[in-house]
Amino acid sequence: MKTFAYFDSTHEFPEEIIIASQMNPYKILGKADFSTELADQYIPPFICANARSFLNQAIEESSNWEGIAIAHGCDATNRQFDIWDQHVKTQFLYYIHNPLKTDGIAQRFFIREIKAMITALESHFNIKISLDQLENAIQVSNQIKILLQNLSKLRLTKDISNTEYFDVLKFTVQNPKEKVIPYLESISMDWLSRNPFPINKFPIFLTGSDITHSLWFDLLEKVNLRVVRDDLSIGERYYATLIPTDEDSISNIVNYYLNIPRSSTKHPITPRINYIMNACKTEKIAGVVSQIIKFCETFAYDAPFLKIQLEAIHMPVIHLEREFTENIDQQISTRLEAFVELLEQNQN
Amino acid sequence: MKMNSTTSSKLSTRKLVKTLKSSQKISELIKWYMLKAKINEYLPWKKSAWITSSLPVELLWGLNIFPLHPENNACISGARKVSLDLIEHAESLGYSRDVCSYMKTNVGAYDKKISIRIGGIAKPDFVVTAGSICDTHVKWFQIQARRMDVPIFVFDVPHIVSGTSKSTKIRYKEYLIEQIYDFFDFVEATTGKKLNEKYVLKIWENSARLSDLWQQIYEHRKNIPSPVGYADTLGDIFPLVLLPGLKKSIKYFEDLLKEVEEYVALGKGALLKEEEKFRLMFEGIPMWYRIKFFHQLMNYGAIVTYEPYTFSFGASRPHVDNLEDGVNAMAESMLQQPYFYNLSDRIAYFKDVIKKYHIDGVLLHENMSCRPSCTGMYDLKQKIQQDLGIPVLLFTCDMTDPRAYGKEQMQTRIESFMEILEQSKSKRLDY
Ligand code: SF4
Ligand code: SF4
Repeated sequence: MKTFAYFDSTHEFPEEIIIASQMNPYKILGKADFSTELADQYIPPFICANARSFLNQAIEESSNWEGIAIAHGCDATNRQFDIWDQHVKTQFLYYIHNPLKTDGIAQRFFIREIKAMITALESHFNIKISLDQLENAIQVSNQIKILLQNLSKLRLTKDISNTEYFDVLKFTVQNPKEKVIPYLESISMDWLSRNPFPINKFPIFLTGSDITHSLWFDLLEKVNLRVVRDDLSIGERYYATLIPTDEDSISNIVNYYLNIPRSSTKHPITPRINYIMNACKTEKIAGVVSQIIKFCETFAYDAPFLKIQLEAIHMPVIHLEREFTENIDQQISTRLEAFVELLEQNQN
Repeated sequence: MKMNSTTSSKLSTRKLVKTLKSSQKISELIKWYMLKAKINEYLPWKKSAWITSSLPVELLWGLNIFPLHPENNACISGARKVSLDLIEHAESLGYSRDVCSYMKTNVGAYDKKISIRIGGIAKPDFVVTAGSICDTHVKWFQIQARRMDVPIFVFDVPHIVSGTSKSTKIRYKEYLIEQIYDFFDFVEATTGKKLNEKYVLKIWENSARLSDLWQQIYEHRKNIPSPVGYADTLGDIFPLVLLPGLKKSIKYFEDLLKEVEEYVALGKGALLKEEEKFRLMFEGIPMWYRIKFFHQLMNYGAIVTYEPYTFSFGASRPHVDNLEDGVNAMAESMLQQPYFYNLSDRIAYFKDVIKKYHIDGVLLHENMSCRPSCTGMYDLKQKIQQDLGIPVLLFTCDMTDPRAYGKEQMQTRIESFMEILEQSKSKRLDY
């Protein structure tokens, strides 16, 4: 199956269109080795390293992809599109604007935007994306989301490491969906048979900039913080909501993307904050780890308000700015250990 | 050639000078605006709004809403050298060292209730913003609207990336037009103020006239010697930023233009003709706490004669005689401004300016606060140097956070750049 890659800063790209066009939607997440050297020639070091690593991977691997789309999320998407245009070799580079807002005007615009993308794909790849194919794609997408929802629930009751959870999500957003479904089904069997949630671990909610490498999940695991809920895009944001099926396919897709717990890059921020607050109020959450990758402004702006909100409900919260590196930052480890001590005191 | 000790201290010798007499009258306009802002604060039936530079301020004037401009006030705080204290206040609330210093200056200015004369700003009836230039504009106003408990309106402006097709541009424009009418409804619901078509047409007419005058002033900056440098224009843009629809502003620009024309007729410049050695283009927001930098460049015979930043505020506006055309023109200007051109348009624009304004060198302010405007600068630099053989100095700084300005380092970099300019110019003259 052919691969079509996309860069969206959170969960903004309507991958169902690519599924419907019989290609594999591959979310660009950078290479495992954290490389950014090629991209560093074009993007200043004080711009988030996630986006730089995506460009780096694209410069190296674009020949494996039929085309690339960038969906608007944060400034990195639209501003760096032009740099991709200059330096990434591809036959098809497309930009789609996922609206900032969710009102009726935005909704109508997004429908037109998606239709325009379909036309561009049909014309470039000489294909026809039928309504049936779109409906099937929605079904497939929903099937995956339901499987992920069920798996996610197991995090609260079973011994599932942070990295295992991340790996499942990463696999899901990068592989052909017909491979993903049996894969998730087998994971489900495995996770159901796991031991109960370990007593020495603290169940936490993880929020902030997207995490693209398992290293950070490992770090949390090492200090006994177990991520049982999150609102990351390679996480719950991707599957928290199902795509509605009550209107025509394009409207359904639009309604879905405008009604998920959108990230800090969108307006208003209430859905994101409410999502976190609800989870903290309804689940057994011991604390919240709010983190941003250095220079991720949109999430950085929301961090103080989120902290105040959580403190108001007496939820322990730590905010961290992390570097993009293969090495564990000792200072961050120490801060996390201090946070764990606080949770221990709370427990007693 | 190595600079001797006399030249090496040039960046700190020249005093602040206003080159044009008419420019000095800007303080009267500023005072008038500040007085109005103060009066507005105390009269409950007067309505005001915060607006960002990504939006045409005519939107507010046309609705009889008094515009307050946090970015403008942050510049004032920077120029009055109080911004650091305000920034540190915002950082103490948890705002990262890495986020835009305009935003943090505003948070500090508002919380500390500093005087409008040094960048203070009053609580508005609502805030309006857009994401066309940066995410910060949206995030900043989301935060402040919530903290002040006032309504917010956000324009969603899609980006014209490289290669955007004509049909996409039309789709984007239609989207914006719908939002402009939605904004009118929002203002009516929030403040009771209705759009007065006759009045808004007058505002647009004055605004178009103001931009025409600005364009004419810019045309004269092509002359050698250049009659106006950045040391003047960074203050001159005030009417374009805040008072574009007013007769007062037109009068100010008419006087400015007249004086510029006189200068040109007499062959006079901001520097004497024999002193003007290097004509520069400056990309980015100036370092407001270090305005004398632009005066001091003149010690090297260098004059900044084109800035996309100041040009953008007065980019040409069509003369319109009905609401529909006016809204249409506004939507177009919200989509495309030199300050946020995509990379290919930006490169073409720079090349054009460099030729038309006889530019010898380009200063690119890699502004730590402004990630979006810095994206693409490496390509821009490379293209200018490679395709036109024009030296480019890219320096890292910040517009209101003085912690980012290394005086010694800056001096060294400017001096070596002047040497490079010297060599490059003599090479080009050899042809
Ligand atoms: S980490 Fe933040 S700045 Fe970077 S791409 Fe994601 S949302 Fe944008
Ligand atoms: S300096 Fe840049 S990031 Fe800050 S408000 Fe202005 S355009 Fe936005």
